[in-house]
Amino acid sequence: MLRMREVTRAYAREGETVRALDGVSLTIDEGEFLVIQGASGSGKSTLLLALGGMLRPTAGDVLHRGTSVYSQSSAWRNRYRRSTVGFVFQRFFLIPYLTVLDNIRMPLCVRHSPRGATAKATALAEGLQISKRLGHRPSELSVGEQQRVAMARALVGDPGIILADEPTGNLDAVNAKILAERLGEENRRGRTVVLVTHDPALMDIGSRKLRLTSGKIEDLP
Amino acid sequence: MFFRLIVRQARQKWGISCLLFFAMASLVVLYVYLRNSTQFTNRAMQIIMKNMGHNLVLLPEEANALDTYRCTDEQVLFSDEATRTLAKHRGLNSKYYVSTLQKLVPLGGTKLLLTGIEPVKSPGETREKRNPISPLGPGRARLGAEAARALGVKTEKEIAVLGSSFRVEEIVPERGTLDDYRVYIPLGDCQKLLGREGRINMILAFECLHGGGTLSDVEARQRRNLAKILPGFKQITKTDISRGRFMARLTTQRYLYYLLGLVLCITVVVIAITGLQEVSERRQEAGIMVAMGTSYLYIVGLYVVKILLVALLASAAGFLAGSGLSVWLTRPFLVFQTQPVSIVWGHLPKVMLLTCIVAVVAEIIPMIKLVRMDPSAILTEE
Repeated sequence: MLRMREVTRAYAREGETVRALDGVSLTIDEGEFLVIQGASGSGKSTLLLALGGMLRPTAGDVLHRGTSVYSQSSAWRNRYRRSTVGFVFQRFFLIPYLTVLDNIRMPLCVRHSPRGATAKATALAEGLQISKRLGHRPSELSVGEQQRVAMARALVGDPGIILADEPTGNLDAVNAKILAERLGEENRRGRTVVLVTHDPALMDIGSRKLRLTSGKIEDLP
Repeated sequence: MFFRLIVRQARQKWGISCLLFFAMASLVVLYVYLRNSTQFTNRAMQIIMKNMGHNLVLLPEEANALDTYRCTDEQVLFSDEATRTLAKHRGLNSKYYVSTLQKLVPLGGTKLLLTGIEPVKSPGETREKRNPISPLGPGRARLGAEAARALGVKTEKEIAVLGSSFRVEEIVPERGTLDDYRVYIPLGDCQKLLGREGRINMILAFECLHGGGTLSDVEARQRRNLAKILPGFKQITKTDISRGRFMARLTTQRYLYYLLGLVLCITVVVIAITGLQEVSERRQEAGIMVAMGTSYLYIVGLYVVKILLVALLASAAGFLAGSGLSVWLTRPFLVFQTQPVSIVWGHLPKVMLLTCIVAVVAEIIPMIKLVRMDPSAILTEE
């Protein structure tokens, strides 16, 4: 279970304090598919990064299975991200000088468990229909293919939680559908998925919907 | 994966990687060229200055130096054991001692200075670092320019001195001093001819001017030590020679250190600027690696190991090029005794180590920037 308890994240911007998250409390059950909707600048990415142990809240706490994520050491949070969390970003952030295969298997290699990484990466690439592109560089792929590589990279470490930040933001309808279906599939396999989006077409794929407005969260029917 | 990341990144950014390599290699070339050529220039300068001769005269306290300079019969004589006592000691700045016995004698229809000489070997003398006065073999003579003229002889000719025959092995070029009138013969022969066995009237010495401090400090230190080792003796310094040698040493050393310091500073700046640029260009890569749970140690390691690999390659290439350049450009004109300008292979490990240290030091600022970057801000950039 993943919990946010009264989480506030404030930034100083042009001399003013902006609250990207304003006292957000949220409980995400294991195996849940949560879709968070919100306009640009509503704090969606901040929420996701805070859940992923990447952004320390100004106030409040994030708990994973009862353990306060930000009370632990940075080494613990590194382990948490390596073993529990898989991020998918709108801008993919693929490493440009590595091949598709190396990009996908990288999370396993940096955690010093490269055994079986190639087989696992290849299997994921097949499932995402990019197996013919394994030797290519990201710049040689279409946008849709790049996002599928990013998706495969997020999944290769078998994370319990997938945090997807506007993953379809740069995709056409066909690729967006492929990706959404894949997220649904991963959820059915037992992974917790938190998807933040402002794409109305994705609102109904989750098991629960929330809206984030000016750093405050509310349930959607 | 670690080295694959380094190699692939270097290959993808081959232009920047080559630029970094050539910048570092060029600076190593400059460093090695300066170090090598200045070291040999320094040595050549020392040889040139050494040719100016001994810069110390050691006499008993009671001796009147004027008698010695004028070579009168009132010169004080003392045992030649004194020179051997000095030569045994390493605590003195002076070395390359020469025992000297001199007397004005009628020769070739004029008066010449018969001078018996015996260079006494000190510990640590080598073929490269040796007494500026070479010993004379038995029955051999060396003539000052005016003495040779007065006797009307050339090298390999025989001369008769107080009834003994000597073969002239060398005629010393004109100096404009008393030395032009000297007839040098081995000390033992001179002592026998003059009936002064075991006696001398002057010790020449060569004072090394290292050891730190000013010329006065070196002089004072030498006088103190001399008083301990050979009490009852005084030291007369040929200050013009000492000062010339001291200034020459100081000039070349300072020139070297300042120049090398400048090259090292430029190297640090070049690497730091390249490193800062690289950190900025690869910020998204660092951000996503943090999101994958990669430690900062691993990410910093990617940069540091890359710069170390470049530094190792650049230092090896730069060493070869810099050494080759110094040999090619300076060997034709630098003065040497036994060692011409050459590649000093012993410097290679030091140059490689120094380049690596400089590279790592230069990467400190870029690495601080890297670890202070906010990965969450990078990953949410529009």
